[in-house]
Order: sequence, then C-alpha cells, then structure tokens
Amino acid sequence: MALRRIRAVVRKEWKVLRRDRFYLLIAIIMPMVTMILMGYGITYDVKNLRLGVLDLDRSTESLQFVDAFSASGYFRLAVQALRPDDLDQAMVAGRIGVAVVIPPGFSRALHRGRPAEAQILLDGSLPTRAEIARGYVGAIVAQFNRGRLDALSLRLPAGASEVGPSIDVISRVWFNPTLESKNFLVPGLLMLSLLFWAPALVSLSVTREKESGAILNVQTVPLARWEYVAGKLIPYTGITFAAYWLLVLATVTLFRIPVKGSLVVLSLGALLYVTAITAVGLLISMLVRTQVAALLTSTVLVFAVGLFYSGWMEPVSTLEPSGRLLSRALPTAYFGELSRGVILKGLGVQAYGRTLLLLALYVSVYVSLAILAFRKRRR
Amino acid sequence: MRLLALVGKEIRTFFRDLALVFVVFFLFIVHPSQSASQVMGTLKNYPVAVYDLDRSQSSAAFVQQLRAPYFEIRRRIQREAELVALLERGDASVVVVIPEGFARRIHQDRPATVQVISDGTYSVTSQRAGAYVTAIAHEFADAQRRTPAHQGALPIVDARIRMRYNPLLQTDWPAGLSMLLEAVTIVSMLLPAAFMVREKEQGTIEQLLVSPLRPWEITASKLVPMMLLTVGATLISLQVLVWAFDLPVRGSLALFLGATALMVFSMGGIGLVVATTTRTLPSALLLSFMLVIPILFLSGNFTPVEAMPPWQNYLTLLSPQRYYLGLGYGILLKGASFTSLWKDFLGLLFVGGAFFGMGVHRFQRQFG
Repeated sequence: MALRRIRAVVRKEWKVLRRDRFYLLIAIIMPMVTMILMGYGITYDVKNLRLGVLDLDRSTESLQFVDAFSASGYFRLAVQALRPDDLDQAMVAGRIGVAVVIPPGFSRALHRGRPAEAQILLDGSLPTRAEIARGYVGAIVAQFNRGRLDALSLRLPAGASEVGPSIDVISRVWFNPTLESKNFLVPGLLMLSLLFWAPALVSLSVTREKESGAILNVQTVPLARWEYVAGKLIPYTGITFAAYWLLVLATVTLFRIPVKGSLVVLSLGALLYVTAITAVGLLISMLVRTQVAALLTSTVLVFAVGLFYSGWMEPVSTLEPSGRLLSRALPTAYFGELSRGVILKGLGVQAYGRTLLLLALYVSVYVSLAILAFRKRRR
Repeated sequence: MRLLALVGKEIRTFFRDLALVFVVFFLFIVHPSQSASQVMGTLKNYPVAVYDLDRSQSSAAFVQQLRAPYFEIRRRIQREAELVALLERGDASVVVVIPEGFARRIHQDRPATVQVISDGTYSVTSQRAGAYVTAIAHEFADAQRRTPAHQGALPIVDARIRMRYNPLLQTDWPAGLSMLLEAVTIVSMLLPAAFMVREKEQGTIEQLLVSPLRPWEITASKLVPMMLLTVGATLISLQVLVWAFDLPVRGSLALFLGATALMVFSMGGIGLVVATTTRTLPSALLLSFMLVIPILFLSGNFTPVEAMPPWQNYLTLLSPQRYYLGLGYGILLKGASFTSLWKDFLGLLFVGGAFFGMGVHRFQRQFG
C-alpha cells in the first residue's frame, strides 16, 4: 500500500518535471556543462605573469638579467618604466603583479667582483599568485647566478669551483606522473558538478509547493511523512544519477581520463552520494519557507562547503581543525576521495569499502532528518 | 514619495523571510570570517611522511628541518609497503625518502640525494610541497659546508624580494575579502531577479502596473532596496573583517562603497534580464545560478586572468566580477585612488549599463 502511495507522489513529480522542460534540462545537462566549463576553464599553471621593469643601470648585465625573466616563459614584460612612480602606479592599478628594479651601479658592482643588488617587488594582495611568483623569481635568479659563476669558473684553474656538499632533490610523482592539472581537476569536478545542482532542484520543488499552497493537499491526504519524502527523493536522485552517467561519459571521452579502478564502486559511491545530497536539499526545503531562501541556502552550502572544504583543491588533511570538522558536514570529501582514488589510482572495494559504508551513513542520517523535519501541520 | 513607499515595502518583505535574512547574514558575516580563519593557498602544517633509510645523525638533522610552519611530520615509515599504502589511501600526499649513504656522501663532500614522492592527484599542493622540500634541502646543504662559501664576495645578483601591500603574505584577510566580494555578487543578482519574478508569478505586478507608478519606478523599487541592503551588509562585514583580522583599509571607504553600489546596479541589471526572460520563480533562480557560476569563475579569483587562454581572457571582460575584484583589492588593500582605477570603473559601468539597458528595454516591452 505504501508503495502505491509513493508511486503516486513520484508520478506527480514526474509530470511537473515534464511540464517545465527547462527544469528537466537543467537537472540533466547542467552538471555536464559545469564540468566542461570548469574542466577546461581552470588552470593552475600560472604563466605570463605581467612584469614591470625599471632599469636604472641600462647595461649589458642588467639587460641580461631582465631577459632571464622574460625568457623563462613565466613572465611577460608589460611595463617598461622610466620613473619609480610609473611602476608604483602600474602595480596599484593591477596592470603588473611583479616588478624588477635595477639600481644604478648594478654592472659596476658585478665588474668589480662584488654582489649587485636588484629589487623584486611582488603584489601580495593575491597571496597564491604572489607565492607562485616568488618561487619563479627565486629559481630564475639562482639560475642566472649559476650561469654567471659557471662562466667565471671557466677562467679559474680546474677544481677551484668546488664549493662543498650539495643535496639533489629527486621528485617522483605517483598516480599522475605528468602532473596535468586536468587529471587532478576532473575527478574532483565529478563530485562538485553533481553537488551544484541536485540540492537546489529538490529544495525548489518542495518550497514551490509551500508557496503555492499545494503542500496543503499533501498534508491533508493519508500520506505518511516518510512516503512523501521517499516520493520526492526518488525522482530527483534518479535524474541526478542519470546526470552522473553523462559526467562519466564526459570524463572518459572528452577529457580522456580512463576509470582505472572499479566502475561498480564508483557508481555505487555516486548513487549514495547523490541520494545523500538530494536528502540535504530536502532537509533545507523543510526548514525554510520560500523558494528564494531555499535556493540561497543551498547555494551557500555548495559554495562554502563544496568549494572550500571538500578537499577539491587541497587535501582535507591540510585544513585547520575547524575546517576539517566543517568538511564532514557533507559527504563531499568522502566521495571526492573515492572518485579520485578509483579513477586515478585504480583502487577498488578493498580501499573504499569503509567509505561506502560512511556514505550510506550520511544517506540514512539526512533522510531521517528530512523525515523528522517535515511537519504535516504547521505549528 | 511613491518610490519611498515601495522601497519600504521591499525591505519589509525581505526582513519577513527569516531564513533569507539568515542566509544573507551567513554570506556576508560568517562565511568571510570562517574562510579567513582557514589557511588556503599557502603551505602550512602540510602533512608529510618520512622514510629514513639512512638512520644517521645527518638524516635526523635533515628531517628536523621539515617543521612548522610549513610541514608537520605525520608518520615515520618503517617499511616500503607502508609507503605505498599511505599514498594510496591519501593519508599523506608527500613522502620524503632519505636513501642509505646520505650521511656518508655529505661527509665526503659529494652530492647526496633526497627523494620526494608525491601524490599527483593533488598536483598543485604536492608541487608546492616539493618546491619547499627542495628549498629546505639547499639550505641544509649550505649549512653543512665546513668552509662557508664566500657568497658575499662573489659577483652575483643579490635579489631582494619584497611583498607589497601584504609583507607577510597573510592569507586571512585577502581570503575574507574575496568571499565578501562574492557575496555581493550573488545576493545583488539573485534577490532582485527573484522578487521581480515572484510578483510576476503571483500577479501582483499587475497591481503595480495599474497604480500611478511609472515603469521606471517599479524597476527602481526593486534595485534601490537591494543597493541599500547590500551596501549596508558590506559595511558591516568590512567592520567585522577589520576588527577580527586587522584587514587594512588603505584607500577611501567611500570610493569602495561607490564601487559596490555600481556593482549592485550591474548585477541587478543582469537580474532584470533574467526576470524578464523567465516565467516562474524556480526557472528564474536556476537561470541566475547558471549565470553566477561563470561570472565568478571568470573573475580571476580562481585562476589569475593573465594565466587564462586568450579566448577566456576576453570573456572575462564581460564578467562584472572581474572589475569589481580589481576595484575591491585595489582600493582596500593597495590604497588606489580613482585616477589609477578609472579603467575598472569604466569597464564596470559599461558592462553593467549594457545589461541594465537590456533589462529595462525588455521590461518596457513586456509591461509598457
């Protein structure tokens, strides 16, 4: 009997979805569009940073030094300043992120065999970019100096260049040897693209009934709370799960990232994850009254927890304790880890059996909360 | 007078929806502070595992150098199998291996090696961590030299790196500020679009149309309250960031609030376009959500604009957030004045004006 009533709710929901095609289109297509946009759109390889130069020495050496920057490929000469003020202005206006100032006497010091000073100014208002730039600057200057010393030691007697012990650092990268940011991004995007849309859609559908008053029908008919929740959960989970398959298709064909591990584990994980986040959307819609509030709440959840505490860009283990706690509010971090592991590392059920159980736990907690929060009578 | 009544009505509607008030509070106050207290984008207490095969004094001394604030040693590995499991499970994403003979080679003045194995599935952070290990290794080698190299006397370039505007490269207030700027964008687009479509859907817009209000007054009545609300919330949020994280306000606060008002007007224009193209509230909200994502991603906050491929670089010119970000950082953190930022102001005015014009035009055609 319960089954029949659930089926009725599902069928009604399906009819609503068919009537508003735009809605259905969004539910199925948008996750893939999000993935494609972000997959192609985000790069972490910072190149062509705009460089400003103030060369007060105008010598062969100073030209060589500036050339070392533009030849590296990381910097692009954007402003050739004549006065210190010009450089300042350019940095304040954001036209350059890095500036090199070469004081007069630069080449004279070098010719006399003494170190010459050069000033590098970095725009620290975007810390990530500044830090990357600092790394590049350090490497370029070190290389430039090594080149100069090598050229000098050729003129010294053999063996005189011996400067003591050194340590070579050999880097080996596992699972993604070419360090392509695409390989690192896409499994995370699988988690993120699903998260962007499912909670929004389901919470809108419930609050719409609240605003139009249609929910009164649901509240007066002999329909148990859990039956209503199940009837809402099934169609939206189904649609989002269909979107998941499109995402997998895009991963394999468009981004050319094969699923190394078990597709069954990945899909099972995805099904649990999608159910859990749809239940989160339901829970939100039970707690708020209007559609605007529902959408904003789920947007906040997606942007705040999804983008910053999901281990999407940086491993969860690097977060502060409070952030680590927050990352556990949604199953995003667990599913992200699973998708990364299965797709790139080729792991299967042995590694992620526990994660699957945890995802199931999220499902049961959020579904129960949604059922409890759904009141048949307004107090 | 009539306009004032309408503005009052809009503000009352907003405050009646408690969940909405809470979300805006969260977006403007809680979220910026919370993300400011998280360290992102720089290396801090990065978890590493160490596999020391040399077990010598030198290797122990080297491991000692992998310490706070950059690294935190989470595990000391004893067997090879442990290393594999650790990386596979993702419990550590960087393992530093010190091979046998490390100490011997150092004492003999021969180059020693250290191996860094990183989890490439987090390519950005592992690369960063690898770079830091390299820097630490070079420093360590320099310190081991019994005869210090006379660097002071060598004809090399001594590069003095200086961080402008943020000497310690703090991530807290820039992160908080970027969240605040994002909140402005999201709220100032979603709310006008939503309130407008809701009136359309419920039919109350017909009442407004038959009232003696002119169409521009109806449009203004949706945008002015949002402007007041957003500017007010921004001001409070800034106060919180200044108070809690010592966010330096170096430029003119009035100029920044002016930029914020201009931004609200631009995003409201997009909201107006959305409201006139959709019939129902959910479609309007979803369409705005669809537009907000690219607007935020094309701002240069996630990927620096200059690092984008050319086609994308041109697309950023359409995103109001790009200009607003430049203005916000420029005015607040760098103390820029109008004269150095007029290009961003002009860009925002142009893009915002175009969307606004489009929205008003469509509105007139629909209801005029």
